[in-house]
Amino acid sequence: MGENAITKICSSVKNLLVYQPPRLPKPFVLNETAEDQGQDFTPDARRGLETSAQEMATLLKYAHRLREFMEEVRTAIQRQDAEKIKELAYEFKVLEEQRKEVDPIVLSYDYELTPIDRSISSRIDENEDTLKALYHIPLNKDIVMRDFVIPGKNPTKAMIVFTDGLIDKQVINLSILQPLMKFDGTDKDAISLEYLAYIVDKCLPSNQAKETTLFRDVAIGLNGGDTILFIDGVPGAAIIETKGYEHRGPERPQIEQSVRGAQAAFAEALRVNTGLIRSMMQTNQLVTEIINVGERIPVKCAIMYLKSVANPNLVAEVRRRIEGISTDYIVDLGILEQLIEDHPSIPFPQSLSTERVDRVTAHLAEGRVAIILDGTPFAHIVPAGFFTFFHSADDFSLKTPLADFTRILRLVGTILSVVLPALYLSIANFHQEALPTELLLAIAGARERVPFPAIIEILLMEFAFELIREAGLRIPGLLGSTIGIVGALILGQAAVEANLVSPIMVVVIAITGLASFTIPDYRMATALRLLRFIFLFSALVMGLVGVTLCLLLVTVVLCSMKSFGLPYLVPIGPKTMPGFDIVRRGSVFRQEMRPDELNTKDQRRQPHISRKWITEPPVGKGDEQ
Amino acid sequence: MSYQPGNKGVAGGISLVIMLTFPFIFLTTPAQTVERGAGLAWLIPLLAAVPPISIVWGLSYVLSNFKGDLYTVSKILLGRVGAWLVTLYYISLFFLDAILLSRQFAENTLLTALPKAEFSVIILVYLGVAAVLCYAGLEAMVRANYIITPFSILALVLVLLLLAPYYNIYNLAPWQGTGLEKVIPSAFLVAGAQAGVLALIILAPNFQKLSSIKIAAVFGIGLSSMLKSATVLVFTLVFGVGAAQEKVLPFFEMARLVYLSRYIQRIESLFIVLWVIAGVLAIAINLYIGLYLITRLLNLPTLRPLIPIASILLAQAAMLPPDIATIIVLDGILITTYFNIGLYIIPSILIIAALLKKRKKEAIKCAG
Amino acid sequence: MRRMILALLLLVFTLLSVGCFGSRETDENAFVLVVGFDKSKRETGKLDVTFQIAVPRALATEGGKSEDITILGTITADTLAEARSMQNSGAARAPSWSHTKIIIIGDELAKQGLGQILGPIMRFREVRGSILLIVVNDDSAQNFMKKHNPKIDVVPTRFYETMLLASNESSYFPRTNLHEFYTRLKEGCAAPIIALGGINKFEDSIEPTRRKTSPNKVDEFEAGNLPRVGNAEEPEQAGTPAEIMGTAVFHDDKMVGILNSQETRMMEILRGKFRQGFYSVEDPVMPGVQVTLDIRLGERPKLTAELNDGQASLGAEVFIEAEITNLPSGTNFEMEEYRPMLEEQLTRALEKSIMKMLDRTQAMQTDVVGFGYVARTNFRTYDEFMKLNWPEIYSQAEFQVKVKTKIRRTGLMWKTIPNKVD
Repeated sequence: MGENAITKICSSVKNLLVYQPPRLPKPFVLNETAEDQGQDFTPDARRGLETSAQEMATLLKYAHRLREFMEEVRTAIQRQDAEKIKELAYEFKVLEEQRKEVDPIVLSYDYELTPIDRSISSRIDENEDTLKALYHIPLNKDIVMRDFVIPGKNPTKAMIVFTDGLIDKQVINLSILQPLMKFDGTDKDAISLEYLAYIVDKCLPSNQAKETTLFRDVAIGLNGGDTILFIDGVPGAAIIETKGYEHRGPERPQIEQSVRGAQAAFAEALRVNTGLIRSMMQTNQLVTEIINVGERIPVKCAIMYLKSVANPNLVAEVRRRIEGISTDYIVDLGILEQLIEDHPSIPFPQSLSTERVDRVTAHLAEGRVAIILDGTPFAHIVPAGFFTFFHSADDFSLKTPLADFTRILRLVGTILSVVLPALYLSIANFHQEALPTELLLAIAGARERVPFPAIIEILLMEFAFELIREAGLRIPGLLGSTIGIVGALILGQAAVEANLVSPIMVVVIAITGLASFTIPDYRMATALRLLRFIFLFSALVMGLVGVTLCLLLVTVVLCSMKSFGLPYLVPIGPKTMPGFDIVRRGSVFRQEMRPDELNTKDQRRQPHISRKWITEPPVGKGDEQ
Repeated sequence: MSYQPGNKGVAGGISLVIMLTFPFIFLTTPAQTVERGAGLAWLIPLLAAVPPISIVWGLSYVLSNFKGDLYTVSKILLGRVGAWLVTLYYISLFFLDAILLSRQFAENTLLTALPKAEFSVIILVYLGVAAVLCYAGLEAMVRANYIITPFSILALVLVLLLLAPYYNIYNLAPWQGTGLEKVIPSAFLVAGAQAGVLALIILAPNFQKLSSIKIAAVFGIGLSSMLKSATVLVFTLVFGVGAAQEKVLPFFEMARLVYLSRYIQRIESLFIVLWVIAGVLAIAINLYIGLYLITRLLNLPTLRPLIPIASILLAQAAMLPPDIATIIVLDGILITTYFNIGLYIIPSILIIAALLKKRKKEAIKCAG
Repeated sequence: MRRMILALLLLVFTLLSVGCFGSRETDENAFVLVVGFDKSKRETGKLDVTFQIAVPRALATEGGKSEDITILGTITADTLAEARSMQNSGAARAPSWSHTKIIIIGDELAKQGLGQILGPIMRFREVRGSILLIVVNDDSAQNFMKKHNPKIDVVPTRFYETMLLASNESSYFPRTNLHEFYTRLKEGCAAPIIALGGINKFEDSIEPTRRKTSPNKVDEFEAGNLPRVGNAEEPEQAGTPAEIMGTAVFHDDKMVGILNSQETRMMEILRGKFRQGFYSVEDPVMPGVQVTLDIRLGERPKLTAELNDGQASLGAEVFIEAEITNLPSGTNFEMEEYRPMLEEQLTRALEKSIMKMLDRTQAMQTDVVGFGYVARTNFRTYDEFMKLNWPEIYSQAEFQVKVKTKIRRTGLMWKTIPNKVD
């Protein structure tokens, strides 16, 4: 019986009365994988069967081809087609060559190797199969294989393989497919590497092209965005450069802004970055070494330096450290830096991280080394001393008194941001006599109504400040400034009105916070933020004595650090020749020597009188003196 | 051997010497000096500069003939037993210096900065920080030293100058104080306080060349004595001989007196920074040199494992004397007797032995 | 690694278990601003210690009345230290002497001797040499502190500090602090001095300490009888009844006498601390009328001391520069013809006053100026000098005072044209 009203009523009543548990989907659980489940690791017996199965398939294919060939020969001879016979003769040669590879011993050896270790075979369908095994095609839809025929006297089958998304389609169409399809032909037989070399040399108008016989190189090329050309009968392939993936171009610097100075910042692509640096330093002395870091997923890392200036030991040491890393995958230059730096557990940064091109070039000219990683829009400069982090990009272009003043202001701001809360706490709690009487009574009066001890007040305000700072990083841009104002003003004001904190505390924390923003380098500022809390706790426990001991400890720790052979607190740590550019800034025409501590090959960068026009008389009549 | 081999310059040597001989200014020494010399007390530190400089010059002459540092030289000149005795003596000298300093600085802290503090904890903390400094190595300590010394000197000179309204030149009269015949010998007696200058000889291989040792000794001791003399001078000028002898902490009292205007007064808390740094650095360097000598003596590969043990032992020893008056008296006695042996007698023995050996060598050459 | 963590934890626990090393929040301290010492009236042999403590809350609110700013309390105890511990029971907070600006000493205690209180004062860590000192004339410190109620200043310490800082406006009282008192006490070659304070009773008839004598034209006063007009029932209308003028002179640690305003001035001139002041002399041309000049020290006075067989001859050379302020007679003292007359008159007046002051101090056997310091240069070693009894030698000494005056400026007028009366 079908559905009618009564059954409907019954079923609805049943649904109403009978409790049925809700139908939830079965939960998905990420079970532990059984041990030893890597890829391509099947038990031996099955392995043996697989390889023999593959061998059989190959032999079968070859047999099919032979049979087709023989059919064609028969029809050609029957029809007396002279041209066809010539083609077939050519094909016979190709097949004969390929027969060598179908030898069972060679085959079994070949199939023992993992796909990536194999060398390219001369049969194009063989190569196709290897590639399919290597890239998990047809599961992996990114790899595109396009078959075509190279015309000419002896038309040969060919195939190009590329990764969609990494290539520039125009380049493939115009500089690979087009010339090849219009190829006139050559005497050489398509059975040797020379044929390939001939094609690469004479036909392919690509700016980088190379031949190879290993699948490893093919894989690297494909992963990078090159196009691979396989030709039937040639036991090799050509790797043609066709990179064209989408990437961001150089933009304005986001973090290191400056009033005067170039506004070019690095982008993620390695070649863009090296190109930017090269465009600012157009010299043959600039050397770029490229090293691949990471085992599972290699990432390109570039080291740049001026060969005539940089200390060769420094360069060798940098290279040694980078090459000596073995890890899975390096995402960011920060990870690389932590792997190669001298003191990873001390929070102070030991290499300068910058996104501005002009800063990099200035430091390169002094004899330092720049490290760039593909995928990170920053460059790291080594070696870096403590005072390098207090230079801003503007310092180079401003005059001496101005730059001097801003530098001293920054240093004072740094000291204040680290020490001020601790100093306030120790004086208010331990050494009240240091304050003038009226000030002390005013502070005491303001703090009468506050229920917390001074340390809790400070910690509360610091916590609020840090929250505002972190939140400011994540708020979408439109709301950012509003919330900053809301947080700072209203929170502070309301807290004072509610007698949670005293106004003097707000002033102290506000000055501290502002002072900490004068530090140009983000990592140094963060390290100093941490330091501030350590100072605060030592002030809480032992007053000024505690602050002093902490200061001493920090100084000694800083003095014991070395960054790539450069003592950290140079030029005041070990005393070196003044370079007039470290703590204070001297005039541009007095900076004759490179920084002494880098021990560069050539110390002098300006002659003693760099402004030659001073010693010569001016043009025209000149002034009456 | 894992000591950092030598590339310290003259500046490092100067700051090393200053830090080893300077912190006594912050303790009771100026009061004791005034007791010895009355109006002429300021001459005593200046005269006391002469013996250490000449000793160091003499010893550097010894070093120029026999390469190495104190231990190897004494081995050559005095044989193994002699070398052992000499080194043991110097180890005890530096450790004693560290003990005296830490005890007196802890008392100082209790008196001035943290009156309600627990005494043993303060000694522990000071020696703990000194231990961490030793752990960082000699190079780090010398560099930190080098950075901090100019500020310390500046702060001290500032205090001395700020007391200008209180100067009373007649406090120095009668000009000859207790009499020249008493002042000059006591100056030579007190020179033992500067036995720390021998650190230059002990760490000799760390310096670039021998002439830097000589220059470092001259400038270091010279600067330190001038500062001490200036302190004693101002102390006498401000307090007069009678009141000056009573004070336990002359520098603290001087800093307390500063009163320029309604706002610049009572600033002595800010100078806590100064003497805490000077004291802790001095303790750390003394500790390091003592341990360094131990490792040289026993031919140990490295110095770091000894640091915690040594610092705990020193802390216990520092807590031994029962009260502060004992320690002041003990300090005075030790400086004039035990330290003088290290400053005068042993280096003289070494120098004479070197001269004799050299003559013997020349005699052999002539004879052959 | 584990060992290091263990060691670090132990260190942190040690540090924290000891407590905060004496850290005290600002609202746990009671700041004592002024301390007063008296000989106890209630029990003999004991001290009356009066504290004036600041109330910060009243300062914080706007419009706080000045009576609420501080609280006053007196404790009777054997020694100062005991008084301080007892103070803790009366006030809710721990006393802190780090902001004490001034110590006021009562009359009778000063005459009895200050040795009783000097001991703990010099050993206390919170008491420093720059604390000011005042002795109250004819009254107890408790009374002084009770009656004193500054109207202009918010906090009483401002009153004391600015007053004593401004002492060299007129030099009617010296600026004395604990450091100077103590060093003079220990050295023995000069007498300790303390400024003199007092409460004005605002009576209708004023009696100065001494009337003016020619050629001077100023009456001499002490603290407590300054000719200020005010209402005895409501003293605060005139400002505050407290005033400071004159010096208390000590021999060893006992007060032996008082120098009035004029004598204090002379002492300050000889000490070289005199900055400027107005001085009136009789007009040499028209006696009965006075000329007022603004005098200052041209250079530091030269003091000399020579000792011959226990007999001291002490000399002083003073160079005064003057500026004419008031010239009612109209004589042209600014001009070359008359100026030397005025200068000579001033010289005479000053010499007379100085000699009078020195004679008085000789009678008290107190060398307030400090000739003893200069005498020290005659000796070779310190011990020789220490054998002398300087106050005795001073009381027998001969004086030679030379004053040189030069009138430099005349104010805004350089001559006076007589009024036209027809």
